[in-house]
Amino acid sequence: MLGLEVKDIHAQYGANKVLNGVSLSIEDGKFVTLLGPSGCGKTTLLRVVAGFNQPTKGEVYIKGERVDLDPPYKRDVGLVFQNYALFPHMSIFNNVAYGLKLRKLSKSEIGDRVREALELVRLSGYENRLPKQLSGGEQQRIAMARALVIRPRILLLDEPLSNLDLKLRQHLRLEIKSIQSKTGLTTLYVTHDQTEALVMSDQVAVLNKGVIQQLGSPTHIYEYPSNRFVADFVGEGNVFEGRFSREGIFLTEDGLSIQVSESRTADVEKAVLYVRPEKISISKTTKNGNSFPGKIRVIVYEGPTVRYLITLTPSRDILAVEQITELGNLRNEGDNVYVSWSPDGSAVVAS
Amino acid sequence: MSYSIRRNFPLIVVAVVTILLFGMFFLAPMFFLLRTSLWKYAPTAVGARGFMIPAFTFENFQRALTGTYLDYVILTLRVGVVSTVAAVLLSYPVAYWIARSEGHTRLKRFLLITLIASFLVGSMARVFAWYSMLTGQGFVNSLLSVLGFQRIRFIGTELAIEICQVQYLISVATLSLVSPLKNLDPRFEEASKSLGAEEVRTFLNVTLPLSMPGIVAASLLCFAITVSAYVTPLVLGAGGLLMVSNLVTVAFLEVSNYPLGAAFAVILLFASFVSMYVLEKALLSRVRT
Repeated sequence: MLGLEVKDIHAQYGANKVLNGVSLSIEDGKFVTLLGPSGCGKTTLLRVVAGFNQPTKGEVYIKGERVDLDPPYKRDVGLVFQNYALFPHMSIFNNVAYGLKLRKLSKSEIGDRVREALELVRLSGYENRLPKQLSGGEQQRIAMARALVIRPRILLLDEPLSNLDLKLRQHLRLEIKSIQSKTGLTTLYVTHDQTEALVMSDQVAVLNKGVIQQLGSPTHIYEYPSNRFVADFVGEGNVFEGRFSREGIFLTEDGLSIQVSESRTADVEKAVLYVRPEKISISKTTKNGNSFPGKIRVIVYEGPTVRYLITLTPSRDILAVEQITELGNLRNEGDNVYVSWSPDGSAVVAS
Repeated sequence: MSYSIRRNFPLIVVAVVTILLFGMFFLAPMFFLLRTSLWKYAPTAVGARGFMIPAFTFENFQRALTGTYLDYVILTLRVGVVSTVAAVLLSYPVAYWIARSEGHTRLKRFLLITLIASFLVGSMARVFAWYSMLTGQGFVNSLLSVLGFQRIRFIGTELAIEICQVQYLISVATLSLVSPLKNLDPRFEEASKSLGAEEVRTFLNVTLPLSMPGIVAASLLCFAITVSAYVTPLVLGAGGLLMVSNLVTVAFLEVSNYPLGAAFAVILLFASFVSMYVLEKALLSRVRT
């Protein structure tokens, strides 16, 4: 069964078209991320599902039931906002119990379920505090508890980690993911942070200009981007424009010949080839596959990794990233080296 | 001069000026007012101090709070409460609509300009306009009789004072409610709805409590303005109804009983402070964020 299905959604603010025919099906229990730059329509799509934006066209189904004509309070969705939106005038208990009181549960059941929810987010004992007495990360978890305690049909998360610092974000990514697998809730997660999308999701939908550019597993999105936008937006890449020869060799405009494995070639004449910086290895001598001589121009030390900008031709620098396994292996500016990558290391999209 | 004094010099100047102004124009008058209200009224003691002698007594407050004077004090407070409640109740939906609805930008701007204009109309013009509308042959009574109702005698009644006050307070209350309602994050209401609360419940559970600080501020403003009304009761009360401000004038200017006038003024101040305290306690205890 599908947990969530949106069909051909169009939406606009005034004359500004925000969604232009978005269709998306999420299997029950899966975690799907909408990834895209700001203004791409990802939050609007989430709000359409929640019922706060009315689509001009299209249908929304939750667990097979059409909901796009229902008001938000009838949709039974759990919603978590970027700023958490905990009710500032209510205690944590009353915040979490809010949805349960509306469902007219008995006092003892409300108590049990609130306790359970707070345990799930590991904030037991916070019942009597006010939201303002909690840190950002704690508020975020209470917002999760408040959304989950009503046992919604789906969970919607709108950039829930964007207001937190990096360490906490990394920690909560895993926590949200584990809560999601524990509850088995179909989840739609909105973010502009590609790492978040890759780390948490079963499927990632990359959105731009109100259209889904690509839908696939994180590996698929990263390794096989389907167009230039996805390739540019997700991860970094060295970009080569050019064409395929009859023999299947990629000839760049600046005169390089790049071997591409068969599974990676595209059936187009003009194409753009991407090589991720971590796929490139640096060596003193030439290697099999694609190997080009160059000179190290810039070195950027990043702690666990080091980035090298290596000049291949006067008009082209290549970005390569290496793990620092031994500090002695760091290279120097001006070293003459070979940059190499396997024929399987490139992604090709139509130009 | 040491470095720290030199560095803080502008700050010190500002602080001294503030304290001086505050002392001269606020603390000192308050002190003299309070002192006068506690001195003894002496109609025969003509001198530099006017008709009073510096002997401590509560008799001015006793007089102010007994008999007809007490009735007027109560009338003042009642008009204050009734007008404030009516004005805030009427203003809230208007302010809510201006602050929270989408579109209608031009209509909203027009409405706001109208409210500001109405706020700026002088009290004389306003009161006499209402006087002419509320007389026996005035617009309101003509309308009532056209609609088949009995004519009502407004002039000289509390209702006339309240009508005029409410009309003025609507502009005050609406203008002061718009910005707190605008600043209310719509995500709170959306969170409430997503958890299953329909519109009315969301309003009662979330919007209303969270807009309480704005309501309290608007109410305080309205109450303070009304209890100190002067022209409105003078004209629309037609001499039969007086409010505390009128009593102050009578005491000071007509019978030269400065201590009594000061006592009335202190009572007025006290009422405003108490209303502030009560509203804070009753409505704001938990909402403060």
